[in-house]
Amino acid sequence: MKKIYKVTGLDCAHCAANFEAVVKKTHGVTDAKVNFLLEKMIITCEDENAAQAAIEAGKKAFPDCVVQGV
Amino acid sequence: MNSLSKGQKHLLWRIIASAVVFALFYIIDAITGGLGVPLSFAIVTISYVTSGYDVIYSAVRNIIRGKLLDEKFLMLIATVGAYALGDFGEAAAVMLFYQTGEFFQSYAVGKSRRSIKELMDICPEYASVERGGELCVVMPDEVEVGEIIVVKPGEKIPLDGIVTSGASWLDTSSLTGESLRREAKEGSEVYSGSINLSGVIKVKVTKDFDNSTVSRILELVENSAFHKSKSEAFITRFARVYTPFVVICALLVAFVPPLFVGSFATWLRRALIFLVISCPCALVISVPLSFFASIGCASKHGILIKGSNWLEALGRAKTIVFDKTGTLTKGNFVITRICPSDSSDDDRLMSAAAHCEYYSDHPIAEVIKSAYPHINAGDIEGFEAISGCGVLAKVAGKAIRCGKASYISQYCDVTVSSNGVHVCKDGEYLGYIEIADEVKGESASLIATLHQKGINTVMLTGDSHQAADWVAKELGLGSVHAELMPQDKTAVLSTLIAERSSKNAVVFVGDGTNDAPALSLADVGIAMGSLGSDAAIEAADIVIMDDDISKINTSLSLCRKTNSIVRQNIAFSLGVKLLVMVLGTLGFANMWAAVFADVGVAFIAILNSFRAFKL
Repeated sequence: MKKIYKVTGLDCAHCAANFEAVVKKTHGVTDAKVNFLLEKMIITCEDENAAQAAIEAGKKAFPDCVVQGV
Repeated sequence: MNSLSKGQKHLLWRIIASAVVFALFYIIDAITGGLGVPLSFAIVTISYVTSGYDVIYSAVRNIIRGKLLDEKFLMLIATVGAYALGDFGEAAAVMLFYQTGEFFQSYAVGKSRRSIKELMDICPEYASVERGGELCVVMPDEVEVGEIIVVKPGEKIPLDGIVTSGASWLDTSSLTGESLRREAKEGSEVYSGSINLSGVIKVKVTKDFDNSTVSRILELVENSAFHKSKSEAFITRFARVYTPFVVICALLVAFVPPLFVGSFATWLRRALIFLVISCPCALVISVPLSFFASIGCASKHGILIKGSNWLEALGRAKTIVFDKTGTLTKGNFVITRICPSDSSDDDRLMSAAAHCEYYSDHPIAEVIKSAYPHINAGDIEGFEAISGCGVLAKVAGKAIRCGKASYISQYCDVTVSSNGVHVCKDGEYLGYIEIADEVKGESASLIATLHQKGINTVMLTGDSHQAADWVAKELGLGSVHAELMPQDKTAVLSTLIAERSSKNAVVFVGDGTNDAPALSLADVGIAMGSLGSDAAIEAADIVIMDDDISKINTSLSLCRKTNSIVRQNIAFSLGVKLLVMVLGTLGFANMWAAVFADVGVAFIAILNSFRAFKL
């Protein structure tokens, strides 16, 4: 399944790339893309739990960022 | 000021306060002739903390989490290092300068986000739908296929559909980039995102919101950012190794030279310079921003680019291959020449041809009939079409034949074996009518411009050599391949692709109706006149919404400009950073230079990217 989120509070595009890497590594997530300019993230994952876990992982690595469902 | 976010305003005030304290410190220091270490330390620290407390806070938090190589952490090390060496002033100044740079950078990012939003502002906010005799205002995605929506003057058409009643003029510029107004009356197809200008129209919805033109355009533009170009992929890979590389350099500079030449403090100071420039932000932001800005700008002009990889490739185009019909030509036939034989005249020739072709439904027959309005249908007694040759009709007791020269020559003396419709009436040769596809007005100037830019042009067509040569001569095309079956077109294209060097690209331009294989085979496939054509939008890499062939040149210029902006930004950012690193190692650059090389360069690179927002 594909989920789209709005991600705000990332400092720069480099952070966004790192955020993407963290989310991608989460178990159950097959692909993740974070666009710094659009403040948008697309996660391809197995189920809702995987998506939630991915977001938690991202938030843990980047405490200032805010992830909202679209 | 109003365009600043709350966070940005806050940061700005902190920077100003910090700068004031910092300036006061230097003035008082100069007047009193030296404040002494404890007092200087105190005042400078006030300035330092005012501007940089959030940097310190997140750096410390990151250290606790074991994340060491982030920009803020490195800034903290650099400034704390400066403190340790007794350069209080420098530490505070670096933090102040860094935050100023961050402010400008965030301002620039904010501005580009707003520009992007503006570009995307074609989305309709609501739909007025007729339900149970009443008009309800709902979100466009709540309307179902088959429902009737009402669009008043000044409103955006929310969903694709067919006009069932009313008439109006529409502004489709947000879709096609063309300010040309389109007429909408009963039965016309209308596309979401167009603006209704004059009258109230009722529209029967044919596509739900997600499949409507406006959603597809927005989706395409947004997703384009995820199709990364080679430069972007390079930058992402580069960024991953850049920071560790610079930090290792810093460690080497700090600890290796002192082993041989001593003076640890000097080398530590130089090493700190490395830490300040260790963030690759300038590149990581400016490169995708340039591409995105350019894609946004193109979509404003009715050119949809599906990804920055295609944009980059089009900028490298060396050969552009055109399909003839519907691309370089209008796809509708016109009479180009009427050539009566010596014994006949224009009127006799046209009259005979029009009567003879009266019952034919061939496109060429339609052209002849519409060019001769005085047909007396009662005179036509018999009609027969001889497949692949021509037609035969009995008109007022006389046998008239129209067709190819090879067919007509069996019945009378054809004096010129030209390409066209030859006419024979009861054994008498009346002459021939030359019919060709009309060339688009802008085609010739486009081809000339492309040649000026050093691009080869090739035309592919299934038409006869004669027809193809005529168009090629008219337009000044580089080369022509005629009488091609659909599979031959892809074969020609494959040869061209095999022959090109890996730096160049072969582009195919078609109308998207039956050239999907060619569109996908080419390095870049461009579909023309695609408003409302899902198949074309699907198959092509770049989609031009209207028929305007000159947009090929517009796209090309934009792509070339974007590629050069990207190259400039990469060269400039890396160049300055490298220069500062070398000068820093040799002792010629201070921390101020390093901060400029970090945030200053990012800011300048982003400003440079802004140029891609405009053609």
